[in-house]
Amino acid sequence: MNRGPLLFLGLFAAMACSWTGFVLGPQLQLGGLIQTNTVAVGDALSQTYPLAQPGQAHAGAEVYRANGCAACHTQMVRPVDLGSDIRRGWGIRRSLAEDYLFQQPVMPGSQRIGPDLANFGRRSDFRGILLRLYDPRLIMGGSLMPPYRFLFETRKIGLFPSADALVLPAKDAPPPGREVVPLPEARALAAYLLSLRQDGYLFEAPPPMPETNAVPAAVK
Amino acid sequence: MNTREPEKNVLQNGAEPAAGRSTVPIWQIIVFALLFYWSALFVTEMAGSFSKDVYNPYHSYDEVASANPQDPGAKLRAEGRRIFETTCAACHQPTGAGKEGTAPPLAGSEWVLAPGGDRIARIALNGLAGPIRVKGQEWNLTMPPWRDNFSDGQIAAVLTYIRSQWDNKAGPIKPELVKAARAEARAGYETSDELLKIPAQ
Repeated sequence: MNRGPLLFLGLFAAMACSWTGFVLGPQLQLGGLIQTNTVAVGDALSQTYPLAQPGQAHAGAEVYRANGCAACHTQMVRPVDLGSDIRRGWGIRRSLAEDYLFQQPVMPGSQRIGPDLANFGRRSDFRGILLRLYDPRLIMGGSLMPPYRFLFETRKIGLFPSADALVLPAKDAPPPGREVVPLPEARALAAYLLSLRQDGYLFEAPPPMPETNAVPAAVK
Repeated sequence: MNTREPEKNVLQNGAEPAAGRSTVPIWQIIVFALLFYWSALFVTEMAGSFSKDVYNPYHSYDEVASANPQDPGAKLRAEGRRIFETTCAACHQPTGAGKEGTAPPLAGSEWVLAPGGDRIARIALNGLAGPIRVKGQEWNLTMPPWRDNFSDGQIAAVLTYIRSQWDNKAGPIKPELVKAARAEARAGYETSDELLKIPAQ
C-alpha cells in the first residue's frame, strides 16, 4: 500500500465518471422536464400531456408497489424496430421520459413474465381488472399470475347485493348468501391501472406519417 | 535437504507489498484503442448527439423535426379553434349556428363569408351594437369588443377558423388586415350601417 493516495484518486475518478454519466448527465438533460402538449393529428386539438394521476390512482400506485407487480410487469413500450410491443398492441408509440413525469417512484420493471402495462388503461375496464385480480385465469386461461384474493372480501349479503360485487362463474362463486366485494386497495389498484396510458403523440415520437416516396428534408 | 529460496512477491518479514512498474503489452493498447474507437462510433450513432428530444429510431434533431407534421396552417387552425371554443362558442355555439336571443349564426353568414374580411375584423375588434341583418333575419343584440383580449394574430386565427369551419369556404384572414382595422378603429361599438359603408371587396 505504498500508493494509497493514487489508489484513492483512481477509485474517485471511476466513481465520478459513472456518477456524471448516470446521474448528473440525465439530471441536466431531463431534470427540467415539464408537462407539454401533444402533437395534433389532423384537426384535433393538441392536449396537455401527461396529466397528473387522479388521487385514487396515486393510492393504487402504492398497492402496485407493495405487491411487487413490477417484478413481473413492465411499463415500457419499446420502439418499433427494437421489439414487437407496438405490433402486439401494447402501445401506439414508444415510451418517452415524459410518460413517467407524475410517477413517483417510476416502476418500469425489468422482466416481462406478464404483459407490459404501459397502456393497460387503454385496453381494460374497471370490472375486468377486478376479475383479473381475483382470479387471473377467469379472463385468460393458463395465466401465470397469482390470484390476489386478499384484496377482496367475502361477506354476507345485506338487504340488497352490493353494486360492486364480482360476478363470478360457479367454480369461483362464494357460498349462497355471500358475495365477493373489492377492498379499497383493489379499487385503488384498478384506478391506478386504468390511469396507465401513454397515448399522446409528442414531438419526440410523432404520429406515423402516411407512406410517401418523397425524400425527407433531412436526407437531402 | 533442499533449502528453498524465498520466492519473489512473498511478504518477507511483514514488509508492506509494493507496486512495481511494468510495460503494458502493445496488443493491449491496440485492443483498447479499437474498443474506444468503436464505442465512440456507437455513441455518436445511437445517442442522437445527446439531445433529449431525439429517441430511437431517429438520429438527429432535424430528423425528428421532419418526421413531425409539417402543415404550417395546422398550428394556426388549432389556435383559432381553441380561441373559438373557449370564447366565441359560448354565444355563437360550437356549431356556429348562433342562438335566438344570444348571437346570430356564423355558419353560412354573408358577413363571415364576405371576400375581404374587413367587416368581421372590425366586429371582432370593436364589438357590435344595434340591429344587423344576417341570413335574411333581423338581430338586435350587443357583442362585446375583444380588441384588448387578443392579439392581431389571434383574431386573424379565429376569423380564419370561422371562415373555413362548418360549410364555410372563404379565404384566410391575415394578421396585417386585423392590424390595419385596429389602427383606424374609433371608440365604441360598430354598427351595421357603419360597416356597410366599408366596401366588401
